[in-house]
Amino acid sequence: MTDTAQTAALTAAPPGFREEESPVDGRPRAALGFEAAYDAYGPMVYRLAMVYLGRRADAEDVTQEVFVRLLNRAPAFADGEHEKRWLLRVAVNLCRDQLKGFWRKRAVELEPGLPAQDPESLGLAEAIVALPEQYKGPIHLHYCEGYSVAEIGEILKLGRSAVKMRLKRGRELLRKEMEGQR
Amino acid sequence: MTEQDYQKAMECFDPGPELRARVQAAAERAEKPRTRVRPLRTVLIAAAVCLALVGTAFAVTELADLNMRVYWTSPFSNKDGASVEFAVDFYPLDSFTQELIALGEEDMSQQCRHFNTWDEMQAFVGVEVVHNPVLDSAEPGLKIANPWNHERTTHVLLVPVSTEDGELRIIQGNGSYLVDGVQVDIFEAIYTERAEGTLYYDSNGYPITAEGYRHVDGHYEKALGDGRHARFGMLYGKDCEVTQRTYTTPNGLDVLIIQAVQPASKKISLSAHFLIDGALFQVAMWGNDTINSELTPDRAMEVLKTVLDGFQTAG
Repeated sequence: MTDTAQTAALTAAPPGFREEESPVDGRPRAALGFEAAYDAYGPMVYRLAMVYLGRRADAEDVTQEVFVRLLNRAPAFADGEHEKRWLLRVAVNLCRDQLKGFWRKRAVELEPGLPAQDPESLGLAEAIVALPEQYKGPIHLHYCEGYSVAEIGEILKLGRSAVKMRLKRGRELLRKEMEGQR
Repeated sequence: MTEQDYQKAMECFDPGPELRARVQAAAERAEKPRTRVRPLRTVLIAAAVCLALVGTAFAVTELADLNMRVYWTSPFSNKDGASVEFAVDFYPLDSFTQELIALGEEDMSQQCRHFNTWDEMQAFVGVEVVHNPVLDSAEPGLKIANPWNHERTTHVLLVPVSTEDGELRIIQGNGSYLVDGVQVDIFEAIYTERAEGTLYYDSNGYPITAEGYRHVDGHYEKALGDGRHARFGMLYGKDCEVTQRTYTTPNGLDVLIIQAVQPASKKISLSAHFLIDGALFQVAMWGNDTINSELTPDRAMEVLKTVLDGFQTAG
């Protein structure tokens, strides 16, 4: 996706959302107030950002930016699911922006100091973060958020076959990585 | 792997209550009345280095060390960072090789290219803006990771940015060198005609379209400006001592040098900014516990000038 396409994705009304439903006073609004929206979706956005970026500071930056945009640039949402998908889409775009940046040019490893977990969960978390970028979104949206292939395609602007392929390859990579850890 | 396995693994990523408070504070700041955007000035405004922090978009509380993070960004307005701005040239698309043009149509994750030398990258791009014998003879530095696949690394990385129509807007080159034992990073941005008039920046510092917004003092402003200036921002962390100076190389290159020193740790960040044939360059080095850990301001300036003096324009 290109930078302008990302911008368009952020400003355009999502599928199923009519343009005339946009706020007429020029002030976008969230379906939920900030506190309710953060409580409902903050951890979701942060985890998605950690999967993409692997660094706490970067994931926090993205999470902050997503919610600032929610207050300033979001369209009027039809419902909570609409708002959730918009947040996921913005978070993915911001993560991809960060990945493009040349200040991230050195290899990134998952930082130490993660909360204590059983070794298998920690190993899986590390394997997820180490996945090539194109597999992370489909894998995460499917396994963590429970979205179908079609829904993932809508959120990530991918065709169904591309989503299926990325899920398949992402699973294979994770399986190999986890087998290697045993 | 089941959904349960995955979700259990995700418990490793707990945002914690501090992030909630930080995001809430940022959201409240963003609701204050908008401030007027200053019109962009002319050539090398930059020189307008403002000591600064980038509003709320990138809080620097995590930057306990001197850790230069570079963005194309909205103007800074507070402490802790610096921004520079240059009037760049916009290269016609037919300046570039067909191979590079074709890259613009690729999916973004497939656009990056790896090279062994800067010259190889320039040959691929088709625009040979610079030659530098100092860098040619330098050892490769730390490897640069492909932003789309961190397992793929190189010493010279090409990162194109294209429009939604698949036409190239910005060609970014990144190089990593070891000059007299000091890690030095080179960044180049060549703007194409398709970028002209669209050099606005979102809160991540990325160029966006004229229909976009940019983040100013915690608010989003409808994109303004003349669309002909490229801007860099550096965040240094709190309490850094930031100074700037100008330097002209023996080859006549006018350079703006920004130095930041962390008073407590004495860690240093040094960056030089300049144009060659309308392409934007940055030469940077900084120290932390593992990279350039013994770098002093005098040593950094000595190495920087060695590199800068090596730049020769192709023309």
